[in-house]
Amino acid sequence: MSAAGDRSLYKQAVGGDEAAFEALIGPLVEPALRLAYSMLGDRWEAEDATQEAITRAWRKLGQLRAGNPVRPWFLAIVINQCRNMRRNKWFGTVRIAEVFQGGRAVDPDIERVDVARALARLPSDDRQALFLHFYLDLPVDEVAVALGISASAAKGRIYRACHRLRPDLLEEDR
Amino acid sequence: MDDLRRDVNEAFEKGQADLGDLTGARERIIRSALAARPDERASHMQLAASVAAILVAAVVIATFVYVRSGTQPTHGGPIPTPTPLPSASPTPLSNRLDVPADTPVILYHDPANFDQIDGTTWGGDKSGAVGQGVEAGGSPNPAGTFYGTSTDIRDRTGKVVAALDTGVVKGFNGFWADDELHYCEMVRSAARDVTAPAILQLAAPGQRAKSIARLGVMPSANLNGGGPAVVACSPGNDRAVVAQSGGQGVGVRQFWVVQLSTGHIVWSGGSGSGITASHDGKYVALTQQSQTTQSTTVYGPSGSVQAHVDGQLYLFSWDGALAVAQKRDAPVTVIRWRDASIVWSGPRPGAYYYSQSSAEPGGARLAIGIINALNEQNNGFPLVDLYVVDPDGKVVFERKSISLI
Repeated sequence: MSAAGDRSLYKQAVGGDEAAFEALIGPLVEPALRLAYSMLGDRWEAEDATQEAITRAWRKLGQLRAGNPVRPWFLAIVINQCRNMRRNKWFGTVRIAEVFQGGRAVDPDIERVDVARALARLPSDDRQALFLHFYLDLPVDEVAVALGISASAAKGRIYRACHRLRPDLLEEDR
Repeated sequence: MDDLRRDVNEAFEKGQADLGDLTGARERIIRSALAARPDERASHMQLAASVAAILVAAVVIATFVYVRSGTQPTHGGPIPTPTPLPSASPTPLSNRLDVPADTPVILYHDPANFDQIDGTTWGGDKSGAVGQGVEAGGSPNPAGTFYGTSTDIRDRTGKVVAALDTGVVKGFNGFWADDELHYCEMVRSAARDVTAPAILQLAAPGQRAKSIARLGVMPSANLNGGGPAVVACSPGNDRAVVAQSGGQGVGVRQFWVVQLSTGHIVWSGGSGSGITASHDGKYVALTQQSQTTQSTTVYGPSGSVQAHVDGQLYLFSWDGALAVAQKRDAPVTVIRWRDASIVWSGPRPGAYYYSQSSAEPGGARLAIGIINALNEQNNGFPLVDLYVVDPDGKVVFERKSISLI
């Protein structure tokens, strides 16, 4: 979708056009669901979080400044919703680790298993930054908006996470 | 850095594998989100009602003060006393569905009692109660003469004709055959906690199931999603169609057309985002989709390509000539799939979403349930507007806000 197309859809959606809202948010549902699943580790809670985020996006769409990208704004709502759900006293913290460690066959490639384990050990903020930048392919400025931090802080967070995962590789990269 | 990115993405990919199949998740989640959002109009109405109530209360108090002080109002008649509006209290249908036992009917949850199942004829001329026991959902055969519940199989009078195993796997898990008597189902060949081949079985209520063939792979029960599913079962045409669902947004990994009498595979096909087959297994429609496009290939009895259709095919009519189909961001339609000509178009998408459809056994009519996002839900199930469409595109009848089973 072009930026102009997005702007046009945005205007219609703000005006209450459901079809326009769906066209705007629809392509973001799967990335949102994957992001929520990476944070919550449970499909149905991830769906709940995504659904709630869509409802909030509908209510708050008018607060998004025209011309600003919808994707990081919406993913920020998803992240906030997941954080709220994780704050719930019934949410077991063990579940987060299960997303990366639970019940999977051992990969014969030891190095990649190490990456998976190292990912599981990362602070959740760092892991989110990597998920957004690497897995969902968001540019750094969109990662920044989604995480509610500056672009330089987002860049620093991604770099720090990479360094923790494989310091040697980053040394070679310089 | 590229190596690290690749390794990190592979690790994330593995973590996401348990998320399972996301086919249909987008529509379902958006639909639920829009249905759950606060209705501004309702809020405004509530606000207006509150203001009105305050004004009425103020008038009543003022009148009371006037009367107490011996001052009579100079104008107007008696002060209207607000009376509560009668609340809607629909009662379940109590009349029995009065049709011959073999007349095909469309079944749905009673709007006032979700556990009750009601039926209507395909002409819409007769409706009535059928039975109970579908609070946790139900699964009727094409004619609506039997239905499976979470504990048993019942006939149209509501009488239990077979009890189901209520062990680990609860409820009716079969796919009703087009002869209205049998059903096909996929069962595990090994314990639930291991991934193992699945077995296609043909069964009938109260009778011992017959194993037909080993097909596909049933994943371990602690993995989400996946596994083979029956999409057509026809003892009369000696065919079943089974599709192995994929993961990671891939709806179908492989499918097989199987001879029920021998278990031999007649032909098989590859992957797609969705699949449907005619009741007799004669035609199979496999949909492929990308981020921007969606198209369906219709295969004939021996696997030869019969047609390409833009969009997704949801269901074939009983005679195989028509199909319920939908292009991306377009209304649900009934089409003649061979030439893609449109026979009927449903309401515009946006607030309306395809839910489910069924074909009139032995006839050519199609019943199409379209979710109206503005409707409320019944017991957590979205309500649909039902359109019964004849082969000429005429809507035979509509029924608003019902939950199909």
